Amino acid sequence: MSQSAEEQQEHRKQKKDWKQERRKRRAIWAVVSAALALLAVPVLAWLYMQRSMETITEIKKPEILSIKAGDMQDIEQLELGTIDVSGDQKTKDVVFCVYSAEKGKKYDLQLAHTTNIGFTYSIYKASSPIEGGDVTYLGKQYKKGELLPGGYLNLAADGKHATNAYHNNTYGEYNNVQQAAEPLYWKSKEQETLSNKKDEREEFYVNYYILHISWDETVQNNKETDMIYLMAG
Amino acid sequence: MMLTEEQKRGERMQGKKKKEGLTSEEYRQQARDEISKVKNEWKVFLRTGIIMSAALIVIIIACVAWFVSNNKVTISTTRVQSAGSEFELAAASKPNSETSAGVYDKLLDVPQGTKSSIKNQNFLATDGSHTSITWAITDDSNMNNNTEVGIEPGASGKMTFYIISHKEGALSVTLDLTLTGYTGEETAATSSNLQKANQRAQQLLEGHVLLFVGYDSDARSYKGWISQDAGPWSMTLDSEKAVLSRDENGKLTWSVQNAKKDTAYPVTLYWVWPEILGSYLVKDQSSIGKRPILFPEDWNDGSSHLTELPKTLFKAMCSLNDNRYFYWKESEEFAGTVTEGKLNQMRTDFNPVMYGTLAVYYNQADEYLGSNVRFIKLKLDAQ
Repeated sequence: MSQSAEEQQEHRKQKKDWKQERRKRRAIWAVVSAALALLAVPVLAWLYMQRSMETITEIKKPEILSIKAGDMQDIEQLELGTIDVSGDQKTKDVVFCVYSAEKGKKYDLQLAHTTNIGFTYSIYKASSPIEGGDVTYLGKQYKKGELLPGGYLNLAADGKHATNAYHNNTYGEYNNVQQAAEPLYWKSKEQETLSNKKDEREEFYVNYYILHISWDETVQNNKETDMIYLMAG
Repeated sequence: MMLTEEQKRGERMQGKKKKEGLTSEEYRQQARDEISKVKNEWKVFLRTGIIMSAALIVIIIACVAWFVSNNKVTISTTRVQSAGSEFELAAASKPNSETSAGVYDKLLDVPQGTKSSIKNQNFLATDGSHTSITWAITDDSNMNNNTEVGIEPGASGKMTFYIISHKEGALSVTLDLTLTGYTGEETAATSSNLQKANQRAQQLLEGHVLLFVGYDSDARSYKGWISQDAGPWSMTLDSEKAVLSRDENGKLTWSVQNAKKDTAYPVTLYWVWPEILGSYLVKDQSSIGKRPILFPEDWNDGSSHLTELPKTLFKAMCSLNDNRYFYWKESEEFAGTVTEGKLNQMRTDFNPVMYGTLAVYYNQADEYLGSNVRFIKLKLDAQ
């Protein structure tokens, strides 16, 4: 009996030793494989081919284009107000300017007006304010330049009113529109370019224009009203 | 050892108890022994564990240090060869030792390439210890970062890179081009002054600043669009019959059958920021003036697809999620105005009034880009 007990104890001891042996072996394996993995990863990364080249550039900040009256005066001063057509002079000139903080900007000029009054509108290029110019406006004088090439986009055959070509754009689905309320759209033919030299105030790049309004005897003082829009863009 | 009667009884009950029949005192003692042994084992484990993790940390630090070690090698007019690398990337450098750095390169974190010269042409190239470099800028190869300052809608140009082969025979390189937008002050001095642009701006950047692999200056049209929204195409380059192709999944591959050792193969990329939406839509210049045409042909199964409008592009342009082309404030208004049908109609039967309603969203996106992205990084990855 004692022998089998002893045998059992021996057996248990052997089992424990064997278990410890297994644990030791496992531990060693774990360390070795971890070390191998750590060595393999950087070596493989070095062998794996990857090359790259990069460059960087900037987006230019967009500078706005704007319209002002006369020589960079407040746009509120661009007043057409009441025009008395009974006098001898059959024309009126107002000066406006197109400017931006960025030089050489390209833009189109567009004029839109209703046709209640039979005025003729034209836009001329103008010089910067100088002494002895032919047009005076808001205290400064300008020299009238050449007529700005362009044409009406929707002039009717009678040469006075607008066709319905742009009716949907202007009024959408609304149909009770008198013919004279249909605006005439005029657009410059070629793109204008802002000057490359700053104006005398050294702040903006400015182009000057004269809006020339003229009429003949058929236009009377009859309290008609028109709306005029000047656009640059 | 003399067994008592109890012990003998215990022995006989082998089914239930594996241990010998011991007295409760000895049993308790055994239990205590086991507990203290387990506690000791834990201590041993800790000890070896600490030593092991210490060894681990040392190995990691050694590897990282070796990786990061910035060994500067300056070699003039010699080729740098790295054993095992099949190719290197390079860009032509300016002659007469003028600097070929872009005006904003100080905002990049990588060094300039290594000087290299092949058949009397000077390059700045990658090598074994400089795997990421800046792209050399010249008068012919730049993104308006040579002397000019920056890009804007309507700008376009080209960037040329070279693949220098170090082996004979078949060579195939996978290319990946990415544009990343950053915000930051115009006076930013280092990359730490930059932050990535927001997701919307980044998406719009990818749809507005475009990359192509070919350009026809007579027709003012582009070929081979590189973009997530592009379709597959394949193009043979003039030099040595190399082939550049994009597969269905967007993978760009350059390959040549008979590469010669130490030869520089050029690849030119054309970048463009279309000024107006019309460039994406039309097939000819009648309605867009002198502006470029991006996709002059319609999709045609079974061709090289270089100049064709990708089948799914107009659909992607109308998507309310991840839209790379348009910016809107009211999504319902946008969804009602911009439809795939209308975009297709502009392609076949251009209507300026309808076009105006669509173009508004493209222009708004340009404005959004201008306000939310200050710098753009173009990166070429090759492997």
